[in-house]
Amino acid sequence: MPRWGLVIDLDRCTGCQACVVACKHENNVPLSTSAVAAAGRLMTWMQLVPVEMPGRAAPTALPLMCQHCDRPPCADVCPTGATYLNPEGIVAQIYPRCIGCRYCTNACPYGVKLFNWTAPEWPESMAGMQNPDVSLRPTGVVEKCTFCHHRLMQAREQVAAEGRELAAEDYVPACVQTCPAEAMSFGDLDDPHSEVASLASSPRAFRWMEELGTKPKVVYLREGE
Amino acid sequence: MSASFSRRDFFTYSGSVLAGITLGEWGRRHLARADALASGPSRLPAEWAPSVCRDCAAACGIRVRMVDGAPVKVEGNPLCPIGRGRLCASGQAGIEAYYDPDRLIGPAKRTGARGENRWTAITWDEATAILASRLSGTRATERRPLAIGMEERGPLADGWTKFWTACDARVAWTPAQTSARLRAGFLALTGIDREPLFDLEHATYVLSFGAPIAETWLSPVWAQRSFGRFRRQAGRSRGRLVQVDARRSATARKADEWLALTPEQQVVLAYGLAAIIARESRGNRQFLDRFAGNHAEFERDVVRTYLPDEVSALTGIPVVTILRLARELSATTQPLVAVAADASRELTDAVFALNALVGAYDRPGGIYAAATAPPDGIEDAAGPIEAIAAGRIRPAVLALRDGSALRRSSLVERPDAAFASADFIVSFSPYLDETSTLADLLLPAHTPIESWHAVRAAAVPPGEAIACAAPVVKPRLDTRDPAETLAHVARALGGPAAAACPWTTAEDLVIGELERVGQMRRGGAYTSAYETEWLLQLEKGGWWTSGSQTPQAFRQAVLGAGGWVDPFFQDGEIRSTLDARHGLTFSSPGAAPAIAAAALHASSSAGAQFPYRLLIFETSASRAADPNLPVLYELLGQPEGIPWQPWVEIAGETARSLGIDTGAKVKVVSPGGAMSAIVMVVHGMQPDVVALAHVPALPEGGRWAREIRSDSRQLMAAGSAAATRVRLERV
Repeated sequence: MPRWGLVIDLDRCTGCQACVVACKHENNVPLSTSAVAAAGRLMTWMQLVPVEMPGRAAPTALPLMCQHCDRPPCADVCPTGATYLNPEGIVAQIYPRCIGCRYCTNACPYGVKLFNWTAPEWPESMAGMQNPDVSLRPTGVVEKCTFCHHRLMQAREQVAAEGRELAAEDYVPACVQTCPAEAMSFGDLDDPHSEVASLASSPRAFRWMEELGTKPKVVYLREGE
Repeated sequence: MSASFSRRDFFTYSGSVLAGITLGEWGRRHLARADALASGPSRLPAEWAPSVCRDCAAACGIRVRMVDGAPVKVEGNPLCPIGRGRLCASGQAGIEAYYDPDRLIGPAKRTGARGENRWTAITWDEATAILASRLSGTRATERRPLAIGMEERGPLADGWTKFWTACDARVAWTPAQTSARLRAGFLALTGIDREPLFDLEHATYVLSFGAPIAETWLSPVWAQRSFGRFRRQAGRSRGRLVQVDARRSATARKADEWLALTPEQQVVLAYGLAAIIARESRGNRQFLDRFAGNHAEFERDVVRTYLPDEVSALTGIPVVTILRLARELSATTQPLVAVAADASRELTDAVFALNALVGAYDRPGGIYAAATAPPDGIEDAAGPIEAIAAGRIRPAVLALRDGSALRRSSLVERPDAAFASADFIVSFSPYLDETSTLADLLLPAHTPIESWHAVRAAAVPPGEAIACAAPVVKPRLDTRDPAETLAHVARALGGPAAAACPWTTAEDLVIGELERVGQMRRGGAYTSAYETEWLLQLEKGGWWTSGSQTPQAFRQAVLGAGGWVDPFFQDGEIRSTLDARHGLTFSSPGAAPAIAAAALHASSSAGAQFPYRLLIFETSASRAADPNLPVLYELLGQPEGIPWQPWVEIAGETARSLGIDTGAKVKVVSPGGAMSAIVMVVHGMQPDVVALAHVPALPEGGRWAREIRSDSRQLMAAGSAAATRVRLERV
C-alpha cells in the first residue's frame, strides 16, 4: 500500500502561484470578488503564506495546503467521521457526512480547512469549465486539498484497463504537474526508490510545524546553501 | 531553391564532413545527457488538444482538456520546448477568457454619444462596409490612420501590418518584455544584430540588474524552469543569485543577497564592479586578450571614472561589499550578469560590458546569439500615443487590435482621453473597456482557444520556435479573427489593400507560414525532450532530416503537436564574429556618476511636499494582457495577503515615521493626482522610495476589472513616470 507524499523544494520555488491556479481550476474551487477577499473568505486549497526562515532576510513564500498528516488533529475531532486518514495516507473529506461543525477547521494548526459560508458560485457562462471529476461542495461543509484524489482513481482505472502496475507518472496532482520551476515532487514515501523518498531524507528536509507531532506528509526542502 | 549560400548551409555541409567527429566522444556525452532527460510522451492524449497561450510574447504551448466538446482546463503542452508541460498562473487562467460573461457577443456600432455605451448589433457585412468606407475616405486626408496592438511576431501580426500599411497607416506596438529589446546593447558590443540568449540554467552565479527572473523575465515559464535548475540540479553545486532591484521583487525575495538600488544607481554599481574587475585584473584574460577591441580604453575610462569610494557614496553600498561582489563575480566558473528587458540603454551597455569582462559569451551559463536574424524593427506605441495626447497627431482612423495600449503603466496617464481626438475608432478587443467604450465600431476577435495560431516565440535557449495550432473549439459567440475581418475590408476597398491581403481567413495565413517553414527543411514539429535533443545532434552533425516529410504530413505533425522548433544554434557564433571584426566594442562608460548624482538629487527641491520617489512596477499577476481573468486578482500582493487591490511598498523607516504597518490603507498623493493603496512594509528598501503596484483600473471593463477603482496612472503628472514624487497620507 503506497503512502502518498509531496515534497516542495523551497530553493527552486519562485512563489509564482501557478500551483494556486492549477488547484482552483482542477478542483472547482470558486472564483472570488474583492468583497469576498475583504471578508477574509477567499477559497484557496493552496496558497502562499509568508514565513520567517532562519538565515533568510526576506520572508519565504511557503506554498501551504493540507499537510495530509499521519496524525491528523482534524480527524481526531470530527464527530461524524467525515474527515479521516485513508489507508494510503490521504486525509479524506466526505462532504455528505460533514455537518459543518467546524471542529476540524479549529483543530487544524495549518488553517487549511475551509468552510463554505455560501454556496459556490460561478457566472452562468462559466459552468462549462467545471471539472466533471470533482464534486461541488454545498454551503455548510468543510473542504480542502485532496492530493487530487480523483486523479488517482482515474489512473487506477487506466492502468487496470491497460493491465499494468501504477507507475509514478500515472498519478500527479495538478499543482505538481504545472509547477514552472519544477519545485514539487509527488509519490510514494514508503517506496525507497521513489524520488520523494529520496528527497524527504535530504538534510534540507523539514515538515511545517512538525514539533506539534502531526507528522505531515508534505515535506519542504529549505532554501539556501 | 535559393542560389545564395547561407551561413546555415555552410554549417550543414561542413557539418556532414564533421559528423564523424561530433558523434564521437562529444556526441556520446550529449546523447547520454539527452537520455537522462525526462523523455515524456511524443504526442498528446486524445482528450487534450494543443493551442497557444497569447498572454505574453513567450507563446508557450498549452493543451486544453476537452470533455464532451467543452474546454475544461488549460495546462502546459508537454511537447512544447519552452515549458515542457509547465505553465504559469496567467497561462492557466486563459480558459476564463473563453467563458468570460462580459465578452462582446458580436460586431456593433455606436448609437449614442461617445462614452455613453449605447450600441446596435450589426452584421459582419455591415461592419466591413463601415470600416471600408471610413478607410476609403482617409486617402485624401493627411491625417494618417494609426493601428496599435500588443507586440507579436508571426504571420498573423504580419497580416495586420500589411493591411494597415496598404491603407497608409502608421503601425505601432506596445512592447513585449523580450530579449529583442536588449538587441541594441548586444549589437553595440558584439556587432551581431540578433537577440542575446541567456543560458540561465547552466550559470553558477547570477548577478541580476532588475531582471525579474522569478516572475516575467523574457519568457516566464522558461525563466522559471531555468531558475529551478540553476538553483538545484543533480551533480552540480547550487547557483548563487544576487539581485539588484529597486524593490523587493519576487526575485529579490528569492535571492541570496538583495541590493536595493534605483535604476540610476544600478548603472553606477555595474560600472563600479567593472572598474574593480579591471583594476584588480580579475577579468577573463583568455577571452579579453583574444577579443580585446577597445577593451584597454574601456578599462582605463572605467577605472578612472568609477572610484570605489565614489560608487559607494552614490549607491550607499559599503566599499567592502562592492569589492566582494566584484571578486565573487569574477571568481566563479560560469558567472552571468542578467538585466531586465526594459532596462535603460546605459544599464544594458554596462551589463553586456560586465559579461564581456567575465568572458560570458559563447559558453555554458553565459550568453549566446540567437540562430536567426530577428524581423525588422517595430515602432513602439509610446511615441504615437504621446503624440496624440500632445495634439501633434490626430488620426482619421484609430485601430486597436487589443486593449494593451490602455493598460500599460508606462504610457500617458489616460490614453482613452487622448484617443478621443481620433475621428473614428475601431476596436478588435473581445471585451468592452475604456478604449472600446470610446470606439465607434466594435469588431470583437476570438479568444485564444478559439483562434488559429502561428506566433514566433520569444527567443530563449531551447531554440527557434513557432507556436502553431488550430482552434480547439468553435467560437462561442459571433466573433471573428482580425485577419479575416481585415481580409473582407481589403476586398471591399480594392486597390493596394486588396493586393496586400490575398488571404481569406486566419487559417490561410497559418497554413502559408507552415508551407514556408516546411520549405526551410530544418527543425521539426514539437516533440519530446529526447527527440528534440536527438534532432539537435543530427543537425549539428549536418544531417537535416525534416525535408523528408510531405507538406501535408508536415502540416499535420506541427498542428497536432502545437508548434515547430529548430533547436540548432551555433555556439561559436559570437566568438567567430568578434574575431572577424577585431574584437569587442565597449561603449564609453561616460561620466555616469555625475549623471546619476544629478538624477538622484534632481527633485529633492520638491522634497518637503512630496518626499518619496515613486517607482511603479508590475507583477506576473498584474501584467497579464487580459484583465478579464478573475483568478489573477486573487494572486495580487501575495504572500503578504493583499488580494484584489493595489498595494504600495514602503521602507520600515517610512512606516515608522507614519505610524502605519502592513495592511494599513494610505492615500498616495502626487502633484498630478491621488489614489488609495494598501501598505506593505518592506525592510531593506530605500527610505526615500515607495513602490506602487500597477493594477489597471478599468471602470468601464468587465465585472472583475471594474472592481479595481484607481491605478497608478492617476498619479502621473505631465512627463515621465520616473520623475514622479509623492507623499503618503494615512486614511
